[in-house]
Amino acid sequence: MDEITPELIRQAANGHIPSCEHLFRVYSPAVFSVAYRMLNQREDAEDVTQSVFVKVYSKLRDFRFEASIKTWIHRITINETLNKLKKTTRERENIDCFSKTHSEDSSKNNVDICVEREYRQQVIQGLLNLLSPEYRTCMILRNVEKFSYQEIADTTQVNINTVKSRLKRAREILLAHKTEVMNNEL
Amino acid sequence: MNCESCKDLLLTEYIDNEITPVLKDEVDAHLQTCMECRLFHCRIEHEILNPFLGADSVTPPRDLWQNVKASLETSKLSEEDIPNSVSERDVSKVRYGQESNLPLPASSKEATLHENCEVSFPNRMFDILKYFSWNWTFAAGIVIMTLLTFSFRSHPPIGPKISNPVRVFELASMSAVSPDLARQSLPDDLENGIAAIDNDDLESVIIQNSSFETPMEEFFL
Ligand SMILES: [Zn+2]
Repeated sequence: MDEITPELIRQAANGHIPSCEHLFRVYSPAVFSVAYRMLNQREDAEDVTQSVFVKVYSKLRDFRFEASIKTWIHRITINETLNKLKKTTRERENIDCFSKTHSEDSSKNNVDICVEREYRQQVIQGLLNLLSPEYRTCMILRNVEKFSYQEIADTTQVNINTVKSRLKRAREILLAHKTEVMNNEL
Repeated sequence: MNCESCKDLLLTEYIDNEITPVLKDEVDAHLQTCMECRLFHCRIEHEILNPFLGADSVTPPRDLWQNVKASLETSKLSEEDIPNSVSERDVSKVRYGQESNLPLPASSKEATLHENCEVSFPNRMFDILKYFSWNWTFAAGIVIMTLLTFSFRSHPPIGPKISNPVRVFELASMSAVSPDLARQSLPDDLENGIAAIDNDDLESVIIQNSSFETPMEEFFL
């Protein structure tokens, strides 16, 4: 990841467009990825990414340099995403849709139809959609974005033990779901 | 180490590489001896870790930056419309010194630094006016107009001796001067006084001055 210097952050805070663009180029893939995994909707993820950066630029003056810019931007991303989730009623539908897909893909009949890559993304989204937004956030930050526990704690503003217990609970849910699917197949 | 605490660690710190070396050795030692935990570890790897290894980075659309840039420029533009924005204030503080008694210019851009190191500021009157929106200016105008109208009604501004136009013509008729002459001796603001008198007053003036050659109507034109 490109280096983000305090000087660049100060320039972006003063509305220096090239610095703002640099910040966008470095962090927008991660912001978009997290938003997309959380929302499972490309358009919604685009909306969130845009509003995240507008918010980032407007709040950059308040950014304290003792915090990490990475976790700070991700915190805004999570907040914006959770707000978006509250507004949309799609969440429930997605889970229903996944349960069906996931049961089917275990039979491996649909693999030929889907592109391998697309299929893998669907599996990931299916797993994530089984989780509540809190657990999903932790799983995305850890298993997709490879955040450390401390980074997740800073981003979600909870302590490390909470992060640990959320990850444990999320993974237990995923294991239990897999067991259920396998039992249904037998 | 028992199976329960081993599984807890397998679900979290162990697979996330957040475990201390000492604890990791303990888990490894337990896995060597416990088939159940070994199977559990296998399941975690297969069902939780492996699916996420295929998580490609989803890339945002190329034109997203253009959208962000557009809204950035819009917000920047509206920020410049506000006088004394925080940034300009800060700039002024740096430039003129926080302890300085110099008044902050409405906009630091408007301040001029002369060759003799004196800083001059533009007339601030306009800046003060800028704080009023058109609505407030309009409302204030209405109030002032109303107040003026009422004050003219009660105190026509014609001076102490000639308190109203009617008396002017009484005076003119008593001293038998023509209305033209009377007009010349009137204060300049009589016109205002005329504007303020009622039609009733006008009639009384006409009646009282009917003996003059010049019709009173013409006088009031
Ligand atoms: Zn065991």
